[in-house]
Amino acid sequence: MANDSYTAENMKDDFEIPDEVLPLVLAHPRLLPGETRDEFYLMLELMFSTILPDTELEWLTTIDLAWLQWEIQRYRRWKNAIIMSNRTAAVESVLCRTHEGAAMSGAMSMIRAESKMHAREMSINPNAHRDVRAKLESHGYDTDAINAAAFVRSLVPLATIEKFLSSARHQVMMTLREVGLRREFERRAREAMKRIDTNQTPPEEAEQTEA
Amino acid sequence: MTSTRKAAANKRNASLSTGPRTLGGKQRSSLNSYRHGLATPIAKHTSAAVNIDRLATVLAAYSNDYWRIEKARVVAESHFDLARIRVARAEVLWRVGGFENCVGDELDQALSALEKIARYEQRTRSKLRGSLEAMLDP
Repeated sequence: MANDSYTAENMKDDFEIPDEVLPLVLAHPRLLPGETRDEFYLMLELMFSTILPDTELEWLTTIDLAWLQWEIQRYRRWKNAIIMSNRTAAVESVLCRTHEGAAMSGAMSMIRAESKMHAREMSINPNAHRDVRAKLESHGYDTDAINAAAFVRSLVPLATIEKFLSSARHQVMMTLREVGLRREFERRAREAMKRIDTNQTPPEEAEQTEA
Repeated sequence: MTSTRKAAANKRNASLSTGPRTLGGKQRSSLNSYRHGLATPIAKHTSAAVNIDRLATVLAAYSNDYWRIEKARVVAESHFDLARIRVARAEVLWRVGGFENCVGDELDQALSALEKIARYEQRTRSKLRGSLEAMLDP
């Protein structure tokens, strides 16, 4: 390869992808922030070189499998991102509640703005605002308590994403089984046809005849 | 009862608002209820239809058997449909800002849109499975 990026065109040269299947391989993925095209095509290449599809149906199944895997990775990243976002929101809420001026009337908007700023800074830099962190711990909000609060906040979206995730995993299992069954079917079919061509009897039957 | 004068005025006013008249306006308003386009059969997309035909012919192993061709067509359609579903799903995730903006109403809307898309995927996959089983049956 001339450069480091692996593309669908490289893949076309490396594997004998049937022309009819090519539009599905060449369709560029819509990437999200943090994803790269190279990453996607390297995963696709790994799938192709491991499964070694040889019929059009197997090619289709392999592409589907690769996409399911890509989506599973996406859901996992999304789950982490949701927990992290809610962690910031949980810190913000706790900071609001434990603020010295929380009882003062009219101070809430300022406290909220300050808490939001501190929470955001603390999420970017874990070492920021050590005093604020110490204050939170003195009120009983240690890392575990904040993580638990973040998890509770994320529960509904996490449950939905988990549903998508388990559906994708189920599809992967089904597809893998299909690939396996088809390969096995093909192998047996080839063997049977070879035997018919050479007029051989299966080994078990041959033993019985000899006996 | 409505007077004749009032009825005539209503008729006159109604004729002023009968929707877009220019070609551009008609094209724009034709997309008013467009959400993700997954309800339209994939074979109706000209570009996809050509690819589906080619793939179905190969999957049917150039057979003349009507049922085999039909099943192969469903398999080919399902695979192109799945590709379209993946694009729609990525579009939703992209609109919500990837994984940057993961709280609030935007997240709820994205999850609800993804659930709707998942229903289309389930339907397509069950169609695909049925046809695959029928094709693999000796």
